[in-house]
Amino acid sequence: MDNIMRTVEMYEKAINENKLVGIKCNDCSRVMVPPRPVCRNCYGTNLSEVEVEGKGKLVTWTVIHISPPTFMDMAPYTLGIVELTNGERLTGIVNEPPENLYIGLEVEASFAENKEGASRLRWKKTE
Amino acid sequence: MRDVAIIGVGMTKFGQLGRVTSRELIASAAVEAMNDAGVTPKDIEANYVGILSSDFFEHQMHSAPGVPDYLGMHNTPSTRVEAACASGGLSVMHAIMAVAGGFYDTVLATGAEKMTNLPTNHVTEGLAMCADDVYELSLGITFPGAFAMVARAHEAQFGTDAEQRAAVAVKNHKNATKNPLAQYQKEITFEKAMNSIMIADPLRLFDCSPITDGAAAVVVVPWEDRHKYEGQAVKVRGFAQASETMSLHDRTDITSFNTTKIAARNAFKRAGLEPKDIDFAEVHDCFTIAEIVAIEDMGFFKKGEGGKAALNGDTAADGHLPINVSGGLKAKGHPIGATGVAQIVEVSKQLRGTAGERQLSDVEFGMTQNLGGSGSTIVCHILERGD
Ligand SMILES: [Zn+2]
Repeated sequence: MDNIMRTVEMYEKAINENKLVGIKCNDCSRVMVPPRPVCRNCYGTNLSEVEVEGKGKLVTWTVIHISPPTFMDMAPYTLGIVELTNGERLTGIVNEPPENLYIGLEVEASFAENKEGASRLRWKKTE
Repeated sequence: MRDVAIIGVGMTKFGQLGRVTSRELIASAAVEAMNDAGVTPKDIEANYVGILSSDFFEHQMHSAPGVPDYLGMHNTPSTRVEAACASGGLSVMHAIMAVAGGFYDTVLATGAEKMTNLPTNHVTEGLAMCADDVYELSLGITFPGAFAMVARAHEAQFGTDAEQRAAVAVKNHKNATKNPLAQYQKEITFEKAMNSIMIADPLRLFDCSPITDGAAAVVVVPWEDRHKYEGQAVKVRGFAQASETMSLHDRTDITSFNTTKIAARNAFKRAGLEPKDIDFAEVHDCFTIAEIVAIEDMGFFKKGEGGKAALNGDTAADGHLPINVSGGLKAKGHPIGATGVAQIVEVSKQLRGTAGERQLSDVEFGMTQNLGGSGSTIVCHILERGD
């Protein structure tokens, strides 16, 4: 065991297993998604991995037409910020026609095939 | 701590400048600034250089020594400052702090970017690397995309619509017609702005600043020494920086940048001034919505009123608080590392009364706001007309 807090690897491993995780501060109970190596509330470092509910509401979104070269085959694509049920927020690609989107829309996490790590996160309308 | 003066200013033409390196651009701007101050390269004790990524755009790392190299300085310490699009503002702030703290008496602050070597998609990617690589860029975020999400949230909460955003673009293009160093000197219409191609919905081409080459430089000295120099001194009254999360999604309020509020508040505190004391400002309009959010967060307009301020002329060159009279990033151009330095150049020229056709009348205090990433770094400066 080394003493390095591998929060990115923790998140990527979970996403590869179709799960969302954060980190919980054992001192003040604050949950951080994405995980961080130091508590943003109390600066504590006594932290544990926790699975979080992959559900939330759309805070805002955009449809990207001019993309970086590696995303050109996907463009135009929709990117949104989602507030999870625990209040934390994540960016993700939204797999829903833009005309169906509105702020507050209930969405849930899904995960793209043929991708690795954080780039797999997709949001779709909650059934 | 010592009071500090801006004693010399210079900037290159902004635009597509062809085969030239960022260090040559800096040399041109720096020579102008040093001539203005009445100093030579051998008088400069230290240089700071704001460059986002000569690495990505020019295949050149370790760009800081390129400045003393091309200015014929021998062994003068040169330090690169990288803070995304706030690199230039932070370069100036470090020069000011070095003089204020008494480490040096004559310091050069420079900034540049040579961006037009690469095609647009590649530049988009290079800039997107200022976002969080793991949690944003891996999902295809771009900076137009990030600010589009700010624009949508701001519109939903305050009704800041496409017309209000376009008003910022129309105003800044109009201002740039009086700036011979600006990339564009052509007015645009609301119709043209609001029908331009969609970049990241709801932001269109004319909501975005262009891809630009250019450099700017200033010479910084102790205020008490100002009369030893030829340049007309402008007094540094306040400065502050604030930094926060790399990802936009980590902010609790997407319609506001807390970093701007904090940096502005701390700059005002240091200056002993309030928003109402400021006569004009150069703010970071990388996107039209960014100017709207900035002038609200700096305390000039109530939250939600920033777009209306542009639309009803409050922020026009003849309005009660002129914003981006230089043309701003939108029309003057946005060579990333140069931008924050060029803001200081413009405010200094206005306070000296040497801004030519776009000179504002009777200005005493000017302010800058320079933004990096999605507001992850903010640098503010407040300058005062000299004696
Ligand atoms: Zn804690």
